[in-house]
Amino acid sequence: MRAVIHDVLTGGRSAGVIPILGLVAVCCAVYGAVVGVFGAMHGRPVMMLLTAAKLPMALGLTFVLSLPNFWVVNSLLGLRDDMPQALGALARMAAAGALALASLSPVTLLWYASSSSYAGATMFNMLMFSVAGWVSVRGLQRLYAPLIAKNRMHGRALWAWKLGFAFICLQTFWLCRPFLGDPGAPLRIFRESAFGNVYTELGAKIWEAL
Amino acid sequence: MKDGFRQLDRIIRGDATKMRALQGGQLELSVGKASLALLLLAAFAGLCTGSFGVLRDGLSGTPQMVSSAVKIPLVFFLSILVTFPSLYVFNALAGSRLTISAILKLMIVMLSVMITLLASLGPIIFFFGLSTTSYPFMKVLNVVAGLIAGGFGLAFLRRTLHRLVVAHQEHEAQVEAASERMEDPSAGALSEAQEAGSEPKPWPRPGPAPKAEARDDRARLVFRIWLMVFALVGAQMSWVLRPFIGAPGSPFTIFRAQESNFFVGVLNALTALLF
Repeated sequence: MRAVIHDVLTGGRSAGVIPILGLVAVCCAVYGAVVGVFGAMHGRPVMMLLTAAKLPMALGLTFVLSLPNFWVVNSLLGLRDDMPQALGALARMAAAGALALASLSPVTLLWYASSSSYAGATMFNMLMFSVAGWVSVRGLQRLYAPLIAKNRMHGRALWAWKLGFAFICLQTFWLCRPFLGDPGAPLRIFRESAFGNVYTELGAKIWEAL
Repeated sequence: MKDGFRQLDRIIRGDATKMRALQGGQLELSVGKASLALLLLAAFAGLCTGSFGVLRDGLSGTPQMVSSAVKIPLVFFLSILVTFPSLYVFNALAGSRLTISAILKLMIVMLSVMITLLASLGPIIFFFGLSTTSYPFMKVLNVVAGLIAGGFGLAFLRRTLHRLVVAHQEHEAQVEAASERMEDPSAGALSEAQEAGSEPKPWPRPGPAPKAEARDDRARLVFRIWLMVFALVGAQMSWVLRPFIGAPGSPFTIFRAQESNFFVGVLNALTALLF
């Protein structure tokens, strides 16, 4: 595991895809457990286990759903021969983001120690996810640069994948709530309104606000 | 079956439509095998589209899923059936040398891209069908997926047609040059000397484009018009064959009553989603 972490942090290419994906799962589980500490501090230690399981599952599901279309689009754009490198770049991107997230665990714990507000904890975790997301995107651009230099079409394929991934990711995470666990609400694995749509809900909220 | 999928793979990778593969002005493709593979992929896309009913209404939604698995392939193949005769006739009248077989293979190439892309979006549609109760959202999502698949398919067709026409022109030029050399060996030597650079090539004479190029331009124009017609026919065919998703709580029907049209239907879904 140390070798894989070193490989991801230094931009190496010696680690295989399976160990990298294993690292993603472990780091997401670690941060998921940290997210669930909020619930544990409010008498629900089981939230640590639930969120440690849900976070890697949500990310993994998003990747799996986005891959068939990524494969077809790359084939149509004549990029099939570069698929191993492209998939390797995506895996390393995920690993970089997951490592960044796991490294922010102490900061998140410090926030929980400083404030017991549920809304504050939600916003803070969204901020941590945004930071990890930014690290992932920057890492992906760097990893994809040689492919784009080889063939500009890789840039288009990457944009299409990013759009699709973001579209699915929002819905996956919406579906997998709660992660923190509202202390004022009953303990549930999934929200009562789990079968909802993030886009229609957010759209309705924006419309109401306007 | 494996052959069919191999052929599809060759098409979407671009191996079947590279200039090298089109030498001789022919598309090397087995229409039957490729069509069988396409039927399966389109049925899978239909299963994903129709799954919204199962995930909402339980087993009573199963007939909708099966119905969509049958109807999605029909949308594509019936649209080709409806527009193919006029395409061939107008293409022939425009002076194109493309045979029925060549045009049919071009259609299969287009369908390969459309259906493969739609099938690759199937898991995403299935996931949203699982996780949302919004029927207007699912309608809009399916229309967007169809537009993406359709756009790629039509763009791929235009590119392949252009390459086929160029390959055909080169093939005809080679055949013509070969027959000229056979009739007059000295002319062949002169043109070979020109090619080798020892003799200057004559200046090209200004004037109207050669007959073959004008004919191929007309063929391209016919195809461009046909692309728009196919898009409209495909959209309206999907309206005629609806429902594909199945409105939650509504009894299952194979077909709905004939009313309105595709564009009004999509506008109504967008309005329901946004307001």
